[in-house]
Order: sequence, then C-alpha cells, then structure tokens
Amino acid sequence: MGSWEVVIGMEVHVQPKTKTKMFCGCAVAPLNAAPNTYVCEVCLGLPGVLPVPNRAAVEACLKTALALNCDIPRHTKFDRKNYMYPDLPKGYQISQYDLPMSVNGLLEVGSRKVRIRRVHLEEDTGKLIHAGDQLHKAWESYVDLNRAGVPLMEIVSEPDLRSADEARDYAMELRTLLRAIGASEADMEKGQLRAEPNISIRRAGTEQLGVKTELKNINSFRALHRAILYEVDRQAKVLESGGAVEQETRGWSEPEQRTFPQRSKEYAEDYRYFPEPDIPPLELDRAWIEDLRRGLPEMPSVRRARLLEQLPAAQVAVIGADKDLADLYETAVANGAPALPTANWIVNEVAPTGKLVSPRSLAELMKLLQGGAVTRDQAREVYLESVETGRTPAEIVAEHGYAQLSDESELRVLAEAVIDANPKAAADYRSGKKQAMQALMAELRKRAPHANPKVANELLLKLLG
Amino acid sequence: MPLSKDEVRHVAMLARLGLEAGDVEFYADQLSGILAHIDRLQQVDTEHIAPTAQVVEIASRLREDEPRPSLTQEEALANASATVDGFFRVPAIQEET
Amino acid sequence: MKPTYGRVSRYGLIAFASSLDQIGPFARSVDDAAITLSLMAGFDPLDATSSDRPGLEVLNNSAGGVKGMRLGVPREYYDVKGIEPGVKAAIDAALFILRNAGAEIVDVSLPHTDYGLAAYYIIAPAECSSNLARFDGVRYGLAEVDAANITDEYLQTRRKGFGTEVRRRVMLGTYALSSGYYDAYYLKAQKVRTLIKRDFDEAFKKCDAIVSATSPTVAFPIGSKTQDPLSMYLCDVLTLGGNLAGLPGISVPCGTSDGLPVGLQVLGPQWGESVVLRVARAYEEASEIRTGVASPSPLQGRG
Repeated sequence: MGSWEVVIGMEVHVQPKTKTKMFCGCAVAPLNAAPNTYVCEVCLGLPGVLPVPNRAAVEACLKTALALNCDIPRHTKFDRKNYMYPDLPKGYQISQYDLPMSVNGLLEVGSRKVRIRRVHLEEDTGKLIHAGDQLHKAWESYVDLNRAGVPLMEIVSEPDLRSADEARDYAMELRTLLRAIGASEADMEKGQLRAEPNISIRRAGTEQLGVKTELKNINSFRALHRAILYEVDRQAKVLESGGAVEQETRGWSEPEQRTFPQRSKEYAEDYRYFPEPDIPPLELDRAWIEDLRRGLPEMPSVRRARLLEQLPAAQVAVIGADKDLADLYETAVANGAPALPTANWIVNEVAPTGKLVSPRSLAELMKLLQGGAVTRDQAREVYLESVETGRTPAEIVAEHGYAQLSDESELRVLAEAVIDANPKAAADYRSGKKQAMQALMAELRKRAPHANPKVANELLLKLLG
Repeated sequence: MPLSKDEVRHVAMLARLGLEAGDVEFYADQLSGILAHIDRLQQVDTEHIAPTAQVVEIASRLREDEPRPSLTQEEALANASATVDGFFRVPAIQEET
Repeated sequence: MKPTYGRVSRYGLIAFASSLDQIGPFARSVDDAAITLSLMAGFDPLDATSSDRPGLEVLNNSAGGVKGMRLGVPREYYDVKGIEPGVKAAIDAALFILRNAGAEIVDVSLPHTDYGLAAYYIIAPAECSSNLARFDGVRYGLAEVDAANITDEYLQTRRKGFGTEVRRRVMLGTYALSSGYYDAYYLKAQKVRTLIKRDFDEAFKKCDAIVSATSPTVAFPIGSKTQDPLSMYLCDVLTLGGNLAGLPGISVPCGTSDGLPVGLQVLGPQWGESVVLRVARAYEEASEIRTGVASPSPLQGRG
C-alpha cells in the first residue's frame, strides 16, 4: 500500500525521587508493600485535611524542566481535576492546568529535535485490582491507596516523533537524562516511568494530522516499541479498508501482544478544572531557579560527545546511556585504568548485572588484568567479591593467592613436568601437529590454574622447539 | 438562563448525585431562579481584571521531604463499609457506554 | 467573629468553600472572642494557606476605645435593598453611640455590592461541589454497598447522605464549573471578586473600620425559605463582601427589631482583627448591652 507517515507525541509520567508523597508526609511505598499501609488522613482524603506540596518534588520537576531546556514562568499554581473514581480518594486529582511548572522545552534524540510542550507536577492515583483480573468482567474491585498521592511529573512532547524506534529512543533518552540529573530512578518495570504514546498516521507528504489513539499499560521499552508497531499497523489496516480511526484510549496487552479499546472519548469526562484553593501559588524565584541550574550535572548529550572522542560508538551507546556507568568509566580512567579495556569491561561485566565497584577499585583491577597478574576469569571473581565486600582488588587477589603465576623459573619446572607426563602430545607437536599444544596447555592449566597463560605458552613453545 | 431537564440530568451525573422522583423539576426550577440572579455578573466589565483565586498574599508554601508516620492498615480501613484482605472493596466498575 | 482568611488553620475543619472558609470564635463578650481568637490563631505547617503572623497581635490595643477612629458606613450597605426598618433603626442607634464614644462616622462606597451575592454563590458552591466529592462511601461514611456498580453506589449514597441545601449547592457548583460555563460563571465570579476586594481597599483608605447591619433582616423561622433559596441567600448580602475579600469581621448584638436580635457588623482590613475587636468592644461598653449579653452561661456553676 501507499506509504504512511507515523506521527507520535509522548506523554510520559515520571515519579520523581522523593522520600515522601506529593502532599503529605507518608513515605513512598516500596513495590511489595501490603495494601493501604502507606496512607494517612491526607492521602486517604479524610474530611478536614489539607495538602502541602513537597519541596523535593517541586525541585525535581524544576531540574527536569531545566534539563529539557524549558521556559520556567515566574509563578505557577496547582489546579483540581475533578472526577470520581474509586482510585481517587478526594474525588479530584491535584494537577496543573493552565500555568504549568514549565513550557516550551526541547530534547534531542539522535538527529530528531523533539519539542517539549510542558512539564508539570501532579499526584498519582491509587491502584485497583479487579476480581477476575479484568475490568469489564469484574464483579467487584479492590482499592489500594499506597500509590495515591505519590508525586508524578508529566512530560508532554509535541507530535514530533516519526517512528516506533524514535519513540522508544525518546523514552530511553528521557530515562538517561532523568537519572543523570538525579530527578528520578525512572525504572519502567517499577512504574516510575510510564510512557503513553499518542499515535496517528497520515499519507506521506500530507500536513493534516490523522485521528490519534493513546496507548496505556506499557511496562517496558520493548513493549513501547511493539505496541506502537502494532497500533500503526492496525490504524493503516482500518484506513486502507475504508474505515475511520476512532479517537480513543487503548490498552496494550502484553500476553496477547495487541492493543484493545479501553475508554472511548464518546463519554468524554468533564474535569471541571479550577485553581486549587488549598495551595497558595508558587513563586518561582529566579535565584532559586539559577541555583538549581548551577547544581545540574553535565548533560548526557554533552558527555556522550566527549566519550565518542575516546571510544567506539558501540561502547558509548551503553556507557553514555547511564550516568553511573559513565561516572565509573571516567573516574576509573582518571585513576589510570586503560580506556578501551575498561570500557569493554563495563559493557560486558558491569552493565548486564548493574553491580558497581568504586572507580578506584575498577582502575586497580584493570591494571592487574592488563599486567597479567590475574586471568580474566579470576578478575571476574575478584570483581564480584569486591562488589560484595567493598575490599580492594589487590587485597582480594593477595588473600586468595589469585595472583597469576608468571615467574619463569617456577613455570619452567611446571612446563617440563607437563611435557614429561604427556610424551605423545609432545611428540605430536614436534612432528607438526600444532593443535597438540592445546592439550598440553590444558594439562598445564589443570595443574596450575593461576598460571599466566601467555608466559606458560611461550615456555612450552621454547621447550618443544 | 433557565436550566433544561437534560442539563440537570447531565450535571447530576457529573456530581454523582442520584435523582429521585421530582428532583429534576426541583433542581431545574431552583437553579434557574438562582442563575437568573447570578447572570447579573455579566453586566460587570471585567475586561482587564485579573481573577482572584486566593484572597490573601501568601505564596510558595512548601514542605520539607521528611517522612511522617502513616496510619496502620487497620486504622486506614476502620471506617470503610466494605474491605477485603487489606483492600477497600467497591462494586463493579462499569464503564459508561 | 470571622478572622482574616488564613489567620486560623483550617486543618481539621471539614471544608465547604476552601478559599472562603475560616474558623472563628462564638463568645459571650468581645473580650472572650478576642482571647479565644488569639489562642486559635497562628501558623500551622499542615495548612499551606495559614498565615505566620503571631496570633497574639489580634489583642493589640483592642481595649483602646474608638476615640479618634474613623468608621466608614458604606451607603450600599446602609440602604441595602430589603432592609427592615427596625434593623435600620437599631443601626442608627448604634452609630449614634459610637459617635458619642468619640468615633468619626464617614461615608464610604462599595460600588460592587450588588454583585457580591452572585459572585459568592458561584465560588462557594463550585468549591463545595469539589470538596464534597470525597464523600463517596468507599473509605468512610454512609455507603450503599449493595449497589450494582460503583456509579450507582455513588449516586445512591450521595443522594441519600446529602440534605436539600447541600445537594442544591453541589448542583449549582458543578454546573458553574462544567465545560462551556467556566468562563461565564466561575472565572467571571473570580474577577468580580477582585473588584469587590478593590472596593474594600479603597474604602479602607478613608476609614479604619466599616460598620453596618450584619443582616438586612432579623432571623426568619426555620424552613420558611427553603422553597425560595434566593431570598434566603439575600440575608447574607452584607457579610458576603467581607468574606470574599478575606476580611476580619465581627457581629455584636445591637438591640432588637420585632423582638428579635439585630447584629452590628464591624469589618476591618486584612489582618486588622485588633481594629475590629477594638470597635466592637467600645460599642459593647458604650451601649451597655454588654451586661445583658455577658450574663452567666447556663452551664456555669454546674461543675
């Protein structure tokens, strides 16, 4: 069929890193908390309670806005979004309507400049569990208000993304940025970052936007990518068969790998927004904003550019996407670690496990490895032990006697013993069967696992030569 | 401007107020009367007037991010009409169609 | 007495109209009201709209008398539509007493008085409709738990639990905020609120406090106006302006009309409780009504 252009705007909800909820002193509940154990009179919406905004949440939102190059107005306010639903204790959600914390930002994702419409602050709702697991078939539902009142930043982009790849990369770049500035852990699996793409398609070359659908229930970057591919395909089929796309909210079903209609705009809610009278307006003092701006670390895009001067793109893709990894790399190298081997070590050994040692320890280990003092397998063990105990690699190596046997006189005795014990292999090698060397090396390693393989190999060659 | 019965039904649904016999007529009549008075607001020229949402000059009241004790689950659920295993229980959530 | 908005924490007060609600003392004398308020007032970290001014400042010179003070009489209040002759006579007598006590009575004007009721009956019900949404029967309170679905549960619980006046206000407020009407009603009312506040700001340039009747009429029999809410609301016409402007005000007894008590209202600028109390106390003393009002409480002496 003729080609379609995909148009995607993203609404991303991010839970800022705070100890307490948005408007009360309840601690933010861990994932496995028993229901309704992180609630108080305020977030339960008892009569007579009042909200008081959390400074840390406001500052996380402002830092995010600054990192996204947003304009920050001189004052902002909260508004009430009124609707009744059992996961919303007060019958309204405190959000921001016409004076959000920030507007007009920009995030570069690869070569795409994505305009950010607004970043605002609001509170999360509670969690509903439906008897029988499905809303439309449930005979009753169960309400857990632990999440009710947890702070959320809503980051809304303009419809500037043009593919599922770009949308996924945008969400990943946001995660990198949010972690880099310490505004959020942004873990999608934990629901700390929820991406809701608004998707429409139009004939390539046309201007008019198509009817969009909004996707919810997406729990990973992979699901985000797949859900968009599915939805684009679905919309194309609808249009190509002469139908019309309905403006609606659709859910992504992970088990079925498809989207399904959730809520139709036919019954459009009327949210009756009005200014929250319980919270005075916030004056966004310029000195405060400048303090926050000065406190921001280097932006990931800048750091990535610098890393690319030292490392291949593949390594930068991994290390540059995670502030902790990039910090580890750069500080380890500053402590004398060799650049590329260290980068490879981080890509292969650290990134998959997420287990970090101090940069000083990593530098020490990389030097031990490079100098041949430990084998790669030993280095892996030393690394893990250092992660667990916090002790330095040198200490661990010394204690385990891990240090590689590189002493030539000792190794020579060993090599001679191996040759004596394996006359056939030795003869084979001498008669030209070079692969016989492998058997001899294997035998040597069995006798002395900590033998430096390079030195041992050279000695065997010399003795057989 | 007088309120139609359909508007009354719509508003009652938004407010989640059930309607009993006679309610629609009652609200239509009463609200129309009050609104007839309220419509005088339209006579006031407010072209360059900023709205007042809060009447005293207090601004930027923020709370430090320090946890305070929460309620126990038992306390949280103590006044609920129906609970199950630590949850509030509610009847089926049917989406309007 | 109604203090300045923000003077007393609203934490623990069941909210009606959050931008108007304010807790004040009822007392048997102005002194008692003053002392009680001084202890109720002050900053509360649980109410972001509470002022950090010291509560004790309400007592500043509150017994200083009215000599040399200028008391403004808004002509729109003095001649308010529907004021009963007996009420007007009682106010005239009160003004006479205050003048004798050394106050200067001056004319002031509150030009937007006619719109106060309309603005109030948009803003208050709108906030009320939102504040009462939490009464849904899920976490506490009356609940029709056997309803077939959550929407029916809400509808039945709230129809049953709220009285006529509450439902009327929830309906009015919901309507005023609903799509298509927000600008015409709620936003317009907030702009008019600005004008009303400005009226008071202007008036207080010419006077230290404003005096008027508390209500144009004396008390009506319970239930006599339920079918005519507008006429009931009109009884509030002299107090709504001060409430919309967040001002402190007090009502002290100033005689009777048709055997029913008439109130003298004293309004001060924001945070001017001490001025309000000073005028009310001076009147109480000069009028010699105090002795009658402050007779011992029936509860006294039982313990």
